[in-house]
Amino acid sequence: MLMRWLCSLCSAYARYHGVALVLLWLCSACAMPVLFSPAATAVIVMSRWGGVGSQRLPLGFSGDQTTAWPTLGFQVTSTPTAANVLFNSWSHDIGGFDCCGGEQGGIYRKCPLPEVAGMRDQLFHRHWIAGTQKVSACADLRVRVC
Amino acid sequence: MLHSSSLQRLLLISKLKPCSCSQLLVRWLQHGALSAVDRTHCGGCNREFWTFPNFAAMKDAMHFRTALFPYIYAENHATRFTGISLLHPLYYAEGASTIDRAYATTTSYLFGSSLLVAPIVQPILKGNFTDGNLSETDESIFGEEHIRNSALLRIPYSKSSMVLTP
Repeated sequence: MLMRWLCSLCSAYARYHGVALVLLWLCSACAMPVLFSPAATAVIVMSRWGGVGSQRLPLGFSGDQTTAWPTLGFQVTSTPTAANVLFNSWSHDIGGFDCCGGEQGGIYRKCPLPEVAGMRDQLFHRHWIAGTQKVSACADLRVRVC
Repeated sequence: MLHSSSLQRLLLISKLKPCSCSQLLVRWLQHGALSAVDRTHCGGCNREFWTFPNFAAMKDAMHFRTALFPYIYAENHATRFTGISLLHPLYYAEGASTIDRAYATTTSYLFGSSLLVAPIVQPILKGNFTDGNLSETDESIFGEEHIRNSALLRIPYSKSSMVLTP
């Protein structure tokens, strides 16, 4: 089975990527002929959710969620509710993506020190742009999630 | 207020409480087992389930999904004609006498036409685990009671007018 991720193309923070975004689009465009060639018998195109009405197919994924109980609770509510807009198949990162610093026993990766506070979050890496309020909100989240 | 100095970051880390991530991952997998797409993923962290302390419960959830494949396949096929998604809210149920309750219950959903699922979305403290059956009645999976009484192995769901054959 062929699966193609259409990541970052319609995400809210795609503008940060700049040149990378163009490359990604080219990459996806090049992949299309392969995906829809007669040789490909089973194809999944996974798009990131870009809001109601943006979906081309009733199948897509969310990603980069924080590994936390509230995230799981939200997904359990939001995934069936998506039936209301005919978004049939949500694919979530089961287990979450951004771990919360790990648990003893090495269940999750041991986050290096700067990453626990900064992870991959644009807001943290560029907090002089986002402003203090957003940064502290994220900081609160980091503290709260575990 | 957070500053970006290393000292402040260190202080932030020290505020982190010990998390129950292993239990969380089991519960997440159990929800994934009864959802449209079951896809584990993480940003560079360990997803080798067989190395995890709660592997038995995880394996159980994944086996359960595998056993349900014929059901999931049939329900997806039905979706093509009915337009009703595999996972849909409780208030879709026809003739729901407790429609207000269905709207208010946010952590349960219908999985296909015959399964009502109520995944656990809260940590359970040690000592509260009990052994229990996998399947429960509609009444018992609503509210706090099912959360308190749900063993780690258990995915609370109920079935109606259907025979599940592994």
